[in-house]
Amino acid sequence: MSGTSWILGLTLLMGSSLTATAQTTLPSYGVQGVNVIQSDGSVKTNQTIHWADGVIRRVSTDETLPSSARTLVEGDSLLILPAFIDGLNHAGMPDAVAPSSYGNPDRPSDPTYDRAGIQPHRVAESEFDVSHSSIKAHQSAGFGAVNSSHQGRMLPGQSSMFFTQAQEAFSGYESPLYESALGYVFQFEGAGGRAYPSTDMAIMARFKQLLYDAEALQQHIRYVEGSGAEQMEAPQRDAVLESLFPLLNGEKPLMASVDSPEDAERVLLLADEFDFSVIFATSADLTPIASKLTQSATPVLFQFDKPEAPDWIQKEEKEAAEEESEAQDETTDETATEDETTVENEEPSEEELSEEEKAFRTRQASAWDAKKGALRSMLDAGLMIGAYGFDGKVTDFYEALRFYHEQGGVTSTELLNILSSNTAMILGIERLGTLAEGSLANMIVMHGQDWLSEDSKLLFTVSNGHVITIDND
Amino acid sequence: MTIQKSTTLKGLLTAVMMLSFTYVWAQPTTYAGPQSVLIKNGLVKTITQGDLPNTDVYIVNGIIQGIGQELSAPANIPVIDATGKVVMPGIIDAHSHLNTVSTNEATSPVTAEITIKESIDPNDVAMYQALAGGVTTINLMHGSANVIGARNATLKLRYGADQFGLQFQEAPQTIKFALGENPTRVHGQGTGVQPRTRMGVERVIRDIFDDAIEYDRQRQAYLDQKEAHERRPNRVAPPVPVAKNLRLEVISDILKGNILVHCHSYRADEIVMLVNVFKDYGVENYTFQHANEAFKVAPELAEAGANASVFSDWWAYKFEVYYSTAYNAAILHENGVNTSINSDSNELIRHLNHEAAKVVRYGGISANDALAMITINPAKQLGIDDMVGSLEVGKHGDISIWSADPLSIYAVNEMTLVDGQVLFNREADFADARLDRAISYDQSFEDLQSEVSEAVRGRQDDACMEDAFILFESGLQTEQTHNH
Repeated sequence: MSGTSWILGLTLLMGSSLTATAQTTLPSYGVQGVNVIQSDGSVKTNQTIHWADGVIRRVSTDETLPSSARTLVEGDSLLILPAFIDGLNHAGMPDAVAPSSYGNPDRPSDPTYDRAGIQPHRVAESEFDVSHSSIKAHQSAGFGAVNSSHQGRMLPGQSSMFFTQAQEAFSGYESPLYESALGYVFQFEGAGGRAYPSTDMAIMARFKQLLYDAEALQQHIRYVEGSGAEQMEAPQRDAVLESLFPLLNGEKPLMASVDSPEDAERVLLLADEFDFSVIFATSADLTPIASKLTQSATPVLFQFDKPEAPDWIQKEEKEAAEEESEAQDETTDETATEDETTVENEEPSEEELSEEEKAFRTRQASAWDAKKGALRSMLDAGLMIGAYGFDGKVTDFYEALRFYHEQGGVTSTELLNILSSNTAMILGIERLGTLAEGSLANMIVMHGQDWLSEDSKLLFTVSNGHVITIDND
Repeated sequence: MTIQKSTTLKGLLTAVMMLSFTYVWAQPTTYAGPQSVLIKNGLVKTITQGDLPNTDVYIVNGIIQGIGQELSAPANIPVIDATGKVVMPGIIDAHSHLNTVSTNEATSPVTAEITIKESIDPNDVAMYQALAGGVTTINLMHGSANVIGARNATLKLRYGADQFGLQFQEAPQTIKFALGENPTRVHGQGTGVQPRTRMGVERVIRDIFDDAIEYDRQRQAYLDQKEAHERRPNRVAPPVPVAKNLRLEVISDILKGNILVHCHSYRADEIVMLVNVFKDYGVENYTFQHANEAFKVAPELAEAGANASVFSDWWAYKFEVYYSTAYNAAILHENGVNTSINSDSNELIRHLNHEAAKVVRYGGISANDALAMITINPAKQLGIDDMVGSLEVGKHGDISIWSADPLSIYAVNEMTLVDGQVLFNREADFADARLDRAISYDQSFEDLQSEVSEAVRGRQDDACMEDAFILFESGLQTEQTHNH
């Protein structure tokens, strides 16, 4: 099929796909003659994928599809990849409630749980809204699932995994929830204003006391429910403390957002004391504590924000690119004069810089190299890396991916791995992130030769078997 | 001063030597663990055993193994020629906020459950700057916003170590208390909770002590019955659980003598108040910090066995500290109070030798006693005097080497060793002493220069009250608070 004809085919199919998403029974779809890229980087050419009821039924070279299946799209240069998974986000959730809206407590040392930002009893599905613009943005970037939690402060709630499938699929009490309460979100965010805790060190102490209190309450409930406690007073029930029992019992992880290796080490102190597992979410380089993380099998969710180089490096790179461009022009245009190639330079030249600033730049350049290489460095250190925190800006997101690929030395296979199967494994949902028979039908369909290339286009995001047509305009 | 390179010595020490007499634009030498070194032929000020001319100090794996003349060491041990130099123990600052992440959790009058050990910034260049002044150990303290603040962290300035490696693991735990204006302004006037007055400060302390005693009794009874129940479940009924209470456990540890109190204070009346409270509850071996009016009650302090850690000549920065004298330390010392001179400032910490010299100038005490005020005396206050604070066999190899008598205004610290490792060498000073890991890829040169200007401009305005402003900015009070 020519380029024009596949676009035509796509246009014709769009209507049916949207209609299909409104059905209660999940549709059966197929794609034929495509290149399938698995998260491990392996590529199978000329494949047919069939999925029904939200599950991948077949991945093979057999070109026939069941008669009930609709052909999603046909054409050349089609790629199918596992859909991305956002390992931790606030997508679909309401804006954070400002601490000030709770007012200042009469006793700043003893604010209510809500005022202190201690809300681990909240599970995301209680307020998740699939029609939220952030979910549409996730679809547009290729995310088929997102682990969302409430926004908040120290302990804003428990995150749950949702499909990003279209809003039209739901009515009444239906929900795109896949798995509830995967873990407890934790961050070094004080209560704000005049309320305890206001510092990281106080957050540490408050967290410990919460678990001591939960420990005692759990013990009390067990005693009362057991034998020999007929005379015992009834425990004072507490939904917040009781919501922490699974953490206390090592049944669920703490999903800790940290800005530095030092903060991560502090969280590990808590994990050591209470013997729970941790998943870190960060855009920092945790390589300095890699051995601690590998020893405790602690994974890391990495945020793909494209960092900006220092101004002076950007300027140097721009000038170098211009010089290269002009040099090429000169070879093609022999009439170019020397005057025309002069670059205006308003900044002090290298010679005009003080010794101190030159040295500063040398060390900063090393820091910039380290920043670019942070993800590579963590991978080389053997850390299990997934992805989190897509901020809704699709173009920036792909630019960040290409940045870590081109300047950070991370292969496109590794990136795909991070965005799909690794994140699924970290969150314990292994039916996501792969394109195998029996896997959940979460995939993306792209047109192009290389999924990471700027020239490639995302056509469809398939989430839980539902097809979301991406508007590339 | 030169370090003689041994034939087998490799690595950073060698690099330092090769770059002698130059500024070095690279990461400074970072802590690599206890080292061995022989310091030759210096005037050794032991502090506890007199001055020893032409004497060697031999450090093996971070511990002083020998002090004497003509000591020898294996060929692979580096040798520092200290001829014409003064070798003394590393300086100890009993009051610092040098590299805290946060200093004050100012939302509660009692925050004993918190620890500064979870608020250490291991990347702060201020540690290198303190090493340059000969300092090797600090008491990294919580601020003075609360009657009972957080537990402190005794640190060795092992520049380059992580937040755990910096901690002086063998040091006993200490905790910050604060009397007077700071807690009454922050809590009583700031948020309307006790204490609003000095009377209230005493009440807060007595109440929490009583709470801790009662908690201890109930918690222990619970644990005892729980154990009995688990042993004989059919005969012993299960107990109603009493949750572990971190705050009260720490207070209980103070009452049991497991945690040393360092109390911010100024006025004589409040100092005596706390002496009396501690007497009532059996708390011993505590230190009054600042204590500008302590000279008025020096005999009472001596009788109680209390320590004092004071400024040499700094006062009149707020109402409660208008009355003081540069003779404070000397009077305390002469009355038998173990007294130290502290900095409470990232600038002052770089020349504590000058601060000690002022005590000689004003109070006429001996030079050795003055140096003791920045070495062995603060070591006693921190409970580490069996390990540091003087040059004795068996103590840590924490040493500063001076160009002349450290009490001379012309003397400069030339070299500082922690656990036997040279972590500051003036001959190969680092112009940009930041650690590689502390360098931000997106900080501008101008912003860095502003930081440097801030670091060298003198005493900070907000050291002890850092992070406490949040309460005042919240509306109830907008006046400027001050430090200490």
